[in-house]
Amino acid sequence: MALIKSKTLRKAEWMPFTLPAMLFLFAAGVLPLFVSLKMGFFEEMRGVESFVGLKHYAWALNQKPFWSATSHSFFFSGFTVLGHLVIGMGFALLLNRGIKALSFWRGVQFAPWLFPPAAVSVLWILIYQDQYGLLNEVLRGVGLASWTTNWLGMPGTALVAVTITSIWNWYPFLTLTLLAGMQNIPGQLYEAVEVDGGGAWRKFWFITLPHLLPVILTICLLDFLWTFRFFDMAWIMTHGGPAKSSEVLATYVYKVAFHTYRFDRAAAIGGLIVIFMGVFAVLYLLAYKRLEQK
Amino acid sequence: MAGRRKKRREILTYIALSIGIVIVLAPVFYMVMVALTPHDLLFDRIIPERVTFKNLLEVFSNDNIMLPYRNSFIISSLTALITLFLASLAAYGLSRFKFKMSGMFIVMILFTQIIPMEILVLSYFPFLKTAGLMDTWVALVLVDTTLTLPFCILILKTIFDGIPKEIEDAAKVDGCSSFKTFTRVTLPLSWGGMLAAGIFAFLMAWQEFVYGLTFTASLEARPITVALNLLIGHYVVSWEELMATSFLTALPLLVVFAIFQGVFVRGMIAGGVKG
Repeated sequence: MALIKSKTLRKAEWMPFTLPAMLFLFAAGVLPLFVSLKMGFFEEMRGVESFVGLKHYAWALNQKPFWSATSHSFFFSGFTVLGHLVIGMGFALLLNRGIKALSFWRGVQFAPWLFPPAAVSVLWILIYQDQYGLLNEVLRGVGLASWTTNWLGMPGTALVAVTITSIWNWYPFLTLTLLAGMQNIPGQLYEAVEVDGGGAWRKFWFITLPHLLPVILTICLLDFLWTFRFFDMAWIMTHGGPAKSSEVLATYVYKVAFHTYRFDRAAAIGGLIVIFMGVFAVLYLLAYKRLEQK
Repeated sequence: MAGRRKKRREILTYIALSIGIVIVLAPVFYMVMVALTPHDLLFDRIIPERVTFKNLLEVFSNDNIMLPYRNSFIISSLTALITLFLASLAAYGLSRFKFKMSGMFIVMILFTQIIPMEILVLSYFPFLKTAGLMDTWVALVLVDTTLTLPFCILILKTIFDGIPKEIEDAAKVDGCSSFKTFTRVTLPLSWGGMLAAGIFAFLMAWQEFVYGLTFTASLEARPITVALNLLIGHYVVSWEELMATSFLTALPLLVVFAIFQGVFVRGMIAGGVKG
């Protein structure tokens, strides 16, 4: 009897520990998401809410701005992740060569990550500034004065400029995770390549890259999802402009909700964003599972 | 011969690393230089002839910046404390006990980590309005905790997983309850992870922008990131003051990172890779 009692007691022991946080996450994260998404299927007319089915979804799908924001979001997130990966990999490879004062170098390259996106946006607005911004100053200095332009004020360059800023802000996270992954690769594997007379390139291609692949996959998809919902830079730097050329889904939803006060339409766009992200989450889980089985 | 080649390789590594870091830190250097330039010398050259701290002092005496700065400190500290409390307990439960729902909880943690804030805002907004929490610290602490909790649970779970159960068993034999074992044995052994999680939560709340933009209206609750956004294009604020403010916004994070780099980096890796 006593044994059974202690067993049931043990069973519930996790509850006081784990339950508070889980209830919080459910009440403040999962539930609000569904409440928000529910709004996308209803419409309020003279104080009465009625179910309108996919009306707002149809509205969103017929909006040109929705599709341009979608393509901007994919461009922004795709190139941000690519930029992170290239720069992060570069730094990680250099830091992994048994250098002295590793923590100093690692810390210094990490600095951009610590700057709040709002501060980064303000800084890069000045860098891209037409008359006296750093970028145009440098271009004039190296004799490329004809390349100077109002980077954030031109439809052709605004989105690229914002993307470069977000690459700069967060590549350090990739450096850290890739470096940690590299440090887990056994040194003997490299020695084997050395015995065969292989150089640095062969080591990277045949040892580092295949061993790092699970880490790269996980972190890039997570990075993609984080960037996909990212709002701050496009909002502060360009407000989605000029002429909506840097409007991403995040800023588009926000404008529909708070400028036109159509929460129902915004919720429908939100539903479509969730679908886009869901596709990526499924890919993530599938890839993760496959790599775990190996 | 091989030694000389190795030496050359080593020097090349340092050169490449230095070049990379100079390029990456150039914007930060530029920011600091503009912040230190006297107004009459602005944009003459990148490194000014004279330096001045007037811009920084100007910022310190500007309530439009200093009050939000205070707000951010309060909001971020409270968020970090609440996050640490909830996350450490949750992570311990997930790390030490086997139960049916644990898999579901992990999925929920990963899921809440990627929910777009722009969608949550749609239901937070009417809720906070009805609850009378608009334009308060409480509202931001509440929503920021949702943002910080998932990653911090993952960090701490990895840390707790790394502590051998045998150490705790000894305490249990002595008659300690699980809770006592947690506070007396496990927590003291994982101060590094707790510190990392706390710093991370503070940093995320400090950097947050969307919620601050949506749920605050006055200087009494507005966080510094939103204040910064309002300063752009404001005719009283000049570029050198904007750069000074931007730098000040990052300063607490730079200082904390400089002191606790090792602990923080290990924590980030614990939450990011293994989670």
